[in-house]
This record gives sequence, structure tokens and C-alpha cells, in this order.
Amino acid sequence: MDLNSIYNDALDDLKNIKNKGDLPLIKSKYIGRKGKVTELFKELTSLPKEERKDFGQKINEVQNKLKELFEEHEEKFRLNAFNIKLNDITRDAYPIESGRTHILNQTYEDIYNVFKSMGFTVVEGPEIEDEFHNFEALNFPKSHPARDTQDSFFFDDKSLLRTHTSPVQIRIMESWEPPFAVISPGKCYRRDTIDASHSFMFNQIEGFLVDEDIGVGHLKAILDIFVQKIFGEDVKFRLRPHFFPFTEPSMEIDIGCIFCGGKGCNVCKNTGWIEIMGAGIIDPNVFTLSGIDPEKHSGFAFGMGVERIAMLRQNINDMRLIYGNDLEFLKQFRG
Amino acid sequence: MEYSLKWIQKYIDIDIPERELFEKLSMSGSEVEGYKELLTEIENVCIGKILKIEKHPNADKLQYCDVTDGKETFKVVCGAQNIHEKDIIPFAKIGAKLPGGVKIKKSKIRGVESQGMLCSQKELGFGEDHTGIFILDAQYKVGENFKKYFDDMIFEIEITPNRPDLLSHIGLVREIGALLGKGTRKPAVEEIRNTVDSPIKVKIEAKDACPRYSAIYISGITNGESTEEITYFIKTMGLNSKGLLVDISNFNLFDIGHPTHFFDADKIDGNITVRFAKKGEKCTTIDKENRVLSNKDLVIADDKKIIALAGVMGCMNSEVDKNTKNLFIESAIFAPSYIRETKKHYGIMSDAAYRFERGVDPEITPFSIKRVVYLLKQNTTFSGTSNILDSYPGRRDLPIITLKKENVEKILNIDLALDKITDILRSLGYKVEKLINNDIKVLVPSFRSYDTLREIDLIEEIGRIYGFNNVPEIRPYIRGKVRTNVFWDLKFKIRKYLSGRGFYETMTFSLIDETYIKNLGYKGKIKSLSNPLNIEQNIFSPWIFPRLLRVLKGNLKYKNKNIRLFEISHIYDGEEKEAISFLLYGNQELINWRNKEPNEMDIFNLKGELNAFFDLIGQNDLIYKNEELPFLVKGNSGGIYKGEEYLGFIGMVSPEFLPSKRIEKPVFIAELVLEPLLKKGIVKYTPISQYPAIERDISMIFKKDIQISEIKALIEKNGTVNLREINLMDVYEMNDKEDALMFRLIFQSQSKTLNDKAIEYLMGKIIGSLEEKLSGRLRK
Ligand SMILES: [Zn+2]
Repeated sequence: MDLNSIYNDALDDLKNIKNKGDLPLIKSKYIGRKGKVTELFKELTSLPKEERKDFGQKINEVQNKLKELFEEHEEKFRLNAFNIKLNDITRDAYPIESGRTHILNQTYEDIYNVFKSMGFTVVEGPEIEDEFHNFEALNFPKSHPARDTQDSFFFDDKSLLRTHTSPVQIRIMESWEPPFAVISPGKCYRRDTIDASHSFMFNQIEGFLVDEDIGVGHLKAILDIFVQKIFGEDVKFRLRPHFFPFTEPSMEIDIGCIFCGGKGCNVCKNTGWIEIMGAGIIDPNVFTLSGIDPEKHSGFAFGMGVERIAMLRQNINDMRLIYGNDLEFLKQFRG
Repeated sequence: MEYSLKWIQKYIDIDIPERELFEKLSMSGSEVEGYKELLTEIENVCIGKILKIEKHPNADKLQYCDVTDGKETFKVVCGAQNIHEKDIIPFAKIGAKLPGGVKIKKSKIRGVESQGMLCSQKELGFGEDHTGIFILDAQYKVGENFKKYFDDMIFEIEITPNRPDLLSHIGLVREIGALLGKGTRKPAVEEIRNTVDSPIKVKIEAKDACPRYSAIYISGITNGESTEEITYFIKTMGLNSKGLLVDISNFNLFDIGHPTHFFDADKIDGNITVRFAKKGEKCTTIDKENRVLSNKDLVIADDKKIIALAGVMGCMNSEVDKNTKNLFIESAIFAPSYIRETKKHYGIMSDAAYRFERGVDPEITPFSIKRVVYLLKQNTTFSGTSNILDSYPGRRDLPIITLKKENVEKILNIDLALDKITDILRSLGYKVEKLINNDIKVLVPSFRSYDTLREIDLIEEIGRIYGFNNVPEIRPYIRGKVRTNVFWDLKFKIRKYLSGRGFYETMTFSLIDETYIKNLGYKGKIKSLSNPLNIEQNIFSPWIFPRLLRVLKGNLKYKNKNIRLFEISHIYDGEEKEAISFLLYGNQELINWRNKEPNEMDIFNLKGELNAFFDLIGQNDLIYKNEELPFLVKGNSGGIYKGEEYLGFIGMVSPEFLPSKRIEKPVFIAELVLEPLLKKGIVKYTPISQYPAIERDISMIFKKDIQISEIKALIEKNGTVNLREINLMDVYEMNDKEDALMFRLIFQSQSKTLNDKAIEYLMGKIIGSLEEKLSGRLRK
């Protein structure tokens, strides 16, 4: 067979090729180890010497050309496999839904990060507490109204649902040596009926620092950092004297109203200030009851409602929304 | 407690605006929670003067007056007969508003036009007198707004439990005096002269419960109507007049903070004993309730009967009334704990009990008597008074505290001069004596002897008056071990990851309905509340998933949504622990233009989510076992284990346990305890294999009761370390007893290229063991 007709046959075969799988067959039919073109090389020896070089060159050319053609076809098949269509990019996507962490846990995390960066450790405690840790060790007298079955949830056996996160303070003081700085987040329970600003289950973050010579100035500096990070650098705060059994002196912390900037509005009841937490210097009795020497050590403690922080920051006007778990509500808070 | 600004001003001159006063009070620990005008309902009533009175032309009993507001003259019809020309009266003009929504309009009375109204006390909403027009003193200026003289600012303060001394106008005046640095006026008293002996003697049996009992006998008294002033002031406290004697007792309570009790002396048989009730004794309190007493109730008794629940409420049998002639006034101190017990037991709220349970100044009782006698003398007549009877078994020395200047500095971080410290304490009523070494000896006044007992209490006083806001900030250097709470961090890692996977985190109430939990088949321990708010929330939830089912129900309004939920929460099933629960509901993908009918999910969708989650937190060796649970569909549920340790379950919820009939697709749930999932320590690098991975498939037929986990375990055992993955690729049902299974195995060595011979050897071992141990046979 002559070179030209082999070449033409190859072109015909390529033209008639139906699927990608046939390509290697045709390729080996012509330029494989026993292919028609390859076979021609073997015939070279039988040719006169002067023609050999010339014919050899021609076979080579045809072989290279076919190689190229086969590669071209391979590429063509590969590209065809992409099956690219004309698409209108404005058409709807195949939907993928993202989820959400809960708004309160987002708030927890923001608050936690502020204190974590300062060197506070986070410690959680049990929600089912005993009266000693929830009341007695916190200097609540036996007759304190909070110890009433009116206000706290009790179980059959004198244990109760903790009414605040402060018992963790006692648990830490009983087991760790000062100095330490701790924040303690978690759920608490009081016998309140649910309304726009109350819930029988709520979340609190407690913070406390115990060392030597700790005073109101230290508390103030830590609160300043907290207020700036959580509510903004320009938000003012103040310490208003108050009373709690487990701190002395005790105070409530107000921030400048973030809704009216202090001019007075509904939210701040025209005072220009909004209460955000309670705080104080840990009462010496509390130290004594948990085995720390109040002569040597002092410390501060503070506690805040996480719902309140979230509601203020994110303009939520009803606490029931937070526990309603409506996906349209949860979806709004991206964390 | 609510306070009247007018009342306060009787005892101290306030020359700053009200708002500023309230701010000062708030910033010293007495938070002003709100304030309001007393006469909010009154508008457009002015001080008027009657110029001329004529007879009404068409009615005998009516009069026709000319009244001026200082500028104009108005013609007014008036029915009252107590008016005279030149009288100063409250005049409601056309357009005025009176209490009860009354609006004054132009009207014709018997054919004559009346341009307003002359008002009685009752029409103005204070006082009971409606018989005549309220004739005013000449001091009131004609034309001025009536409210200028008669209105009051009522403000409410949250009195903290440590400050019972502030539960009166005098108490607050004392505090305001300290805050403003101003003197105060003392309430006037009557010195008592013994003009008649008391026929009634007092004996205190319960000395712990009644540290002091003072009393006085007053003879020949006339009860009657209260004066305008007393009526006015008790109105500011929200009380109506109940006759002079009761009104004065009430006035005194709000004035000086001491509850006295007025007995009709003629209704007392013999003498008075302060004692505990005998179990089963009965009495009828003045709220008309019949009460059967216990031996914990402190009572006032005469020789025959109980005449009062001490410090809480009097009894009807000894009440004063309009015929009372002789009076026996109790001015006592009762110990807080006993009062609280009785008050709580009977659910009685009274202003007296409120004060006694917080603590009343023990030194006040004789003063209280002198004050009450003064008020009686000002308002009525009586013929004689006895001595003040006074038993004081609970007399105690007042606390004396040594205050060190260095401790003020330590707690408040301010360097206050000794003089400044003593000034502050003195302004609050403490007696102060400087000692050597910057120490101060402080004598606590009796009205603060309930709450100021320690040095720290004095430091608080100094701090709140000096102002905590004036304390400089000092950033503390935070010392001590930096302990990382890996479990807390893990929970936040989980939250982030799952929200990225399309799960919504919920926060539901940890209290749940016991019946519901038992209906679901819960058999474990239950922690039930002894005082739940309602039966829907009466136990601490042992599972989270029932709460997720309810969240699902609440979100069904969002049609065509896939709902994926998770929650991390404490549970109680014998012990308190933290758990995580998952819920999956909907289709494999959301409906879209390419796929209008997406496949429903099955249990392996949730298993896949769990496995990816376990992988993320480094738990790759958890085991699933086919297990049944009462609320899960049989054959679609299982337990999850870490070695032998049970972690929780996964499964499809049985349709009968779904909380809504509108749930039309299967719901998959899983719930696991969280703590065993915590992997501690930092992951160390394992080198990546540089050698090729080789795939081999096995197709074998097994009996249906052989579990995939058994087959995989056997393959894994025989595949050696070089077997990296086993994936189930196909399940084909041969008949009702057998399935054909195809597994794809991936072999890869860490140290060399595995040749065909080595792979064939392993495959041979694997197939041999499957044939031998599990009666599998190769599929041709
Ligand atoms: Zn505001």
C-alpha cells in the first residue's frame, strides 16, 4: 500500500469516528506498534539505498501529521465533554441554606471574647444547685425573699434550680487558690411568668476577680473595657450604689442610653441611662464561707443578663422572641 | 416606697430642681424609679373669687354668682349654700377637666347659662367633703392655677433591703439632708404628762420576738373626720380616709416609719400579753378573715382573746370605731423573722409588716408615742394620758466600729482626708471619734443598727456618698494560672460548624412536661419540681429532642423549607449532663428549577451529618448499633457508642409521636451526651503517603441478617494497615433472604508501592474470611 492511500484512509476513519472510545483503536491501526504506517518503516530496508532516506522522511512526515491529528481529535472530544451551554447568570441558583448559631450564644461569645483577651478563664457550673451554694455561701439570710418558694424553683429534695450564676463563684473559691479571674456563663431560673422582659429561664454571665488589694477602681477599669467593646467606644457608663447580699459595696452599672444618646426616651425612662448589670466588691463573709482569708484577699464580682445585652444591642423589644425559636427571627442574627 | 415631695418639704427646704434631687438620690443608692403628679386628672382649674351672689331666677335652691379669675368675670350657677361673697374658691372654667373624666362645658341650668363650676373637695378628687364648696384660705392668689398650691410630686424609690431606715418621709429627709449638706426640721411632739393611770398593763412573754413594747392609754377621746391636711397627705400615699384615729396611725407610719396600733381600750379584757399563739387558737383580722393560728404566730392577747397578729394586722374585736372613747396605743418593735413567718404563712401584705420584717429603729417607740399624741392633740380632743408604758427586754448596745483609713483606700482606691471621711459619716448620723494611727471609732445610730455592723459597711457609706464614679480606674494586672476551658471552646466550634452545615441552633426551655416525656417512653430518673409554675413545665428535661420537635411544629408555616436544628443543653437523666440534639426534616435538596421533586431524606442523611461532625471533632471510631427505642421507627434507629460507652441514639421519629398532623415527611433525630466527645490535646502530624492508592471491588452475596458493620469489621481486620478505606458501593436485593453487596476497598501503604501480588494476597484473605465466617459467596 502506498503512503498516500494509507494517509487518506486514516483521514476517512477520523472523519467517520463516532465516539471517543474509537480514537485509540484508529490510532493504533495507523501509528501503533503494528500500525500501517509503522509497518512501512519495516519495508524501508527492502528499498534501494538512495530511495531509503527520501521515503523514510516521507513516512516520518505522515506519522507526525497523523499524531497531530489524533491529538487534535482527542482535545476536541475532551472539550465536547464539557458540554458547555449558554446560561443566563441571573437565573436562580440551586439553593443552599446556611444555618445560624443562636442569638444568645452569639452574645455569649462576644462577651466571652472580651474577657478571654484580658486573661479571664471561663468556668461553667451545674444548673441544679444546692441551697448552700446558691444562697447560704452567698450571704443570703435564711429569711431572704429570694429563698422563698415564691421566687425560686425547688426540687423534692432541697436542691433547686440556680437563680443566678453566682454559685460558681463559691465553687471556684472552694477549690482554687487566688489569684484568679473567672467568667461564668449559663442558664438560671426564677419563678417569673413570661412577658416581654421576663422569663423563668434566662442566661447570665458572672465575672469575678480575686487577688490582693482589689478595689472599686479595678472593677471600674474592667467594666470600662467591657462597655467599650460591647456597646461602643463612645458609650459612657456609671456606677450607681445598690445592694446585693454577696457584695459590699454593691452597685448597678448603667450605660448612657444608646437609643437617645442621653437626651431621654422611652427605653431609658427619660433618665438617659440604662441599667445593664450588677457589680460590687465581694463581701468578706462570702470569702470566709468559702475558705478564703478576707484579710489577705479581696476581689470584685459582676453579673449581667445575656438577654438584656442582646436585646439592647440588637433592638429586640420582647424577650419571648428569643425563646420563640422562629427561624425567621434566628436567621436575622448572623453571629 | 412612694414619697410625697410636699411631705418631704415639710422637713427640709429643697432649693434644687426635682430632677436634680432624684438624680442625687439615685446616685447615692436610692434609685428613683418613677415620679408623677398627684393631680394628673385636673386641668384648667384656677383659684377664683366670688364677687357677687344672687338668687337663681328660676330655682330657689340655686344661686347665681359672679366669679373672677383675676382678669375676667364669669357667670356661674352654684347649688351649695356655704358660699359667701369674697370667698376664695377652686374655679373650674369651661374646658376644665376633673377626676373621673369630668369635663366642664358651657351649659344651661334651668334656663340660665353657667360659665364654669365652683368645686368641692370631693369633685377635685381629694377629701371626702362634698357638702359644700371647698373654701380656701385668703393666702391663695386669685388667678393662679389650683395645682400650683395643691398638686404634689409623688416619686417612687426602690428601697434596698439594707435600708429599712428610709421607709418613711423622715428617713428620706435625713438622707437628703446628708446629700445636700442641709439641716432638717424635726417633727413636733407632745411631752407626755401622766393625768390618768392606764388600766391595762403589758407583759412580754416572747422576749426574743418582741424586744420592746411601749404603749400609752388615752382617755375621753373623740374620733371624727380627719382634717384637710391629714386627708391630703394620706391621699398622697394612696389611702382613703377611714376616720381620724386610723388616719393618724397611717400618717405616722409614713411620716416616721413606725407602725403603731390603736386599740379601743374598752374592748380589751384585763391586761395585754405578747406571746405566741397556741396551736388552733382563732382570731378574725380586720380584713374580715377568720384565721386559725399556729404556735409560730406572735400575737397580742388580752386575758380572754387574741387582739392582734403582732406587727402584721389587728383583730376586729379590738378595732377603734367612731364610738371609741378610750384608746390604748401600741408602739412596739417586733423581730423581723417572726413577722415574716406569720406574714408569709397567711399571705398578708400590710405596711406594718413590711416595715417590721425589714427592721425598725428600736429607739423610736417613745418618740412615736409623743408624736402620735401631738397629732391627736392637733386634730381632736381627749381628757387624759397615762405615762408611757415601756418594756425593753431586748435592749442592746449600739454597734461601735473601728474604721481604718488604709482600708478605705484599699477598697475604694481613693486617698480621702480623714476629715472628709468623718464629715461624710457624721452627715449620715454616725457619731465619730478620731483615734491614733488614722483610725476612727464610729458609733452607729440606732436607725442604722440593722445594717451597719462592720467596717466594710462604713466603707460602703463613704463610697456611695463620695460617689463611685469619682473613683479612678486602675487596670488590674491579671495574675494566676491561665486555664483554658477546652469543653467551652469545643461547644463554640460545634456551633460554628453546624451552622455552616445549614443547622439552626435553638434555645428552648429546659423545663418540660412529665406526662409528655413519659408518653415518649422515658423510663429513667426524673427530677421534678416541687413548685412548678405550671404542669407543662414541671420537670428538668431528660432529653432535648422533644423540644426540637416542638420547634419544628412552630416553624411549619415556612413551607418548602428544609428544617435542620440542633441544640446544646443541660439534661437530667439521673445526673445533670450536657447533651447535643439534632433534627433533620425535609428533602435531600431544596426544590429548584432543575429538580422539582427532590428525594426525601432517609436515616443515612442524618448519619452522614453526624459522621462529618464526629470527624471534625476528632471522633472517628464511634460505633452504630441497630437498637430499638419506643419513640423511633423500628428498623430505623440505633445506638451510638464510643467503645462500650453509650453516647446516645439516632433514628426516625415514629409518626404517632410527632407533635403536629401537618408534619408530612419523616423526621430524623439524634441525641448524644457531649462530654465524651471532647478530644483533648493538640493533633500531631502524620506523614502523607507518597505511594499510589489502589482500588479493588468485592461483590458478594450475604444473608440479610448479616450487618454491614460485621462485614466491614471482618474486612478491616484482614485488610491490615494497608487497607485505608472500605466503602459500601451497592446494595442489590437478590431475594427476600439475601442481598448482593459491593464494597470498594482502597489500599495504600505508608512505606512502599503495593504490587499486584500483595493486593491479591490481601483480597484472598478478605474473601476467604467473609466466606468462612459470614457465609458470603462471591457474586458471578
Ligand atoms: Zn434613652
